[in-house]
Amino acid sequence: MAAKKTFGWRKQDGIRLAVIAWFVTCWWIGADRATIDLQPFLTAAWPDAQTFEELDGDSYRVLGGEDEVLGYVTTGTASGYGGPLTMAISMTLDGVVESVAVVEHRETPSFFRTVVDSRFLAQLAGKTNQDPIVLGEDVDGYSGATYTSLGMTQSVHRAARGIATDFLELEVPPVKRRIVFGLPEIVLILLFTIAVSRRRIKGKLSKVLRWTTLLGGLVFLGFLFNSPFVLAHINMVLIGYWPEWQTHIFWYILIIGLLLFKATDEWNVYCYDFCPFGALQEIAATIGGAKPKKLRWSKVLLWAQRLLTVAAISLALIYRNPGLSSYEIFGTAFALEGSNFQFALLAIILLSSLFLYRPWCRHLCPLHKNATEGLFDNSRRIARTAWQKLAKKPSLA
Amino acid sequence: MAEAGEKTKPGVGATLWSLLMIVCLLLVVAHLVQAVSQDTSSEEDLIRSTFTTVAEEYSL
Repeated sequence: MAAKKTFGWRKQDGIRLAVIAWFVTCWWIGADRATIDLQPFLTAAWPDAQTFEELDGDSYRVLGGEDEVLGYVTTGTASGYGGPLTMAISMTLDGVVESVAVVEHRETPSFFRTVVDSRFLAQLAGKTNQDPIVLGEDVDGYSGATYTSLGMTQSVHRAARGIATDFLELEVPPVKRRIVFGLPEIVLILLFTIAVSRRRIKGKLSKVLRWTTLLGGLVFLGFLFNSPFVLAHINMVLIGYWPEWQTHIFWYILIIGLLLFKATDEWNVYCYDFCPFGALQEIAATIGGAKPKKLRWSKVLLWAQRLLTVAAISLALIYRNPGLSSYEIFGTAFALEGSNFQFALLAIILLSSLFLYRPWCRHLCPLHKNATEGLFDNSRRIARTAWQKLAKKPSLA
Repeated sequence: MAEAGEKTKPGVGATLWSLLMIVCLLLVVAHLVQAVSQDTSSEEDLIRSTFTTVAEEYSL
């Protein structure tokens, strides 16, 4: 009887299937988008060149008068915070990176613009085949957008090594496989551990621990690291952009931790226990005495939140850009980055939080259970039932 | 847990809060439209705005 209830067709299953089919269509449309055109970079980097001889998909030999080789151009790609970045470089015959430019990026727009405006790229032009071109060694990262600056540095590093070894046969320093594991990763593991442990405790201690993780999330994931969980993370998984684990351990802990918890427990550990923007709203609620209120047209608001989430994910899939539709105002709150619309939104939400309990989470956030539960609950239910059936099955041995 | 203690009959205040949330939804839509229109700008614009050389910043 229970199994029938679990696997039986429900009214919502039709909507769920339609949404999944729509996402597949969006993914397919996005896969068909055009490839990178390097022509603007080639002419900018080598204005006096006579010919650009294509060597493979994204590498060129630059020829001057009488077919004299002037240098080479190629691209390198690496992961930023919200998606991959592709940079083109031009290199002279003596191994100097003469010019660099971003030719395609799927980075969160606010992070991208901040790093570009900081003239970070000026550090990368002028590097040679002898330089390590590694963030933290000979390149200074940009605080508040570390993953963006890391992605740009790695892209140039890969492109420079490619030209130096494949075309110029120059020596390059050995690659050190650096595993990035520091304070952000330690804090994230701690937050998960405390939040999970708290679930087994009741009473005042549980409340104290919850406020500890909330404030920890606010300070560390919010203000210090500016690395909250965002829709771009889900989009990256759906599109298939899996960053290098060595440099994105934080990303993997966050994604795997949340998926594991979602699959095994009803509790939304991130939202309730250490979301930094949730913490900000709860502090405002404590100050203003906000309570959960039932709003008018609550069903309309609920479906608007869901539709917004579906639209945002669809845009990311079509444009192959995980960060494009990540409309959250977390970066606006913690790093003062974002569009004018986001700043207006932030002001309204923070003021409303004094009177309404977590208005962003309950009515707008694409990561809240209101927006996603209809989509993922069934899979969780099926996975759990299957697991329980498997666990109950007697061993064949 | 968050939903515990919700009032069941929405009043005038609830209508005004709902309208404010609808304004917020419209702001999100406006932001998305702006983000998409910026994303569809040409590769040449992207290269122009990020192009950096050893000697000096170069304009296409």
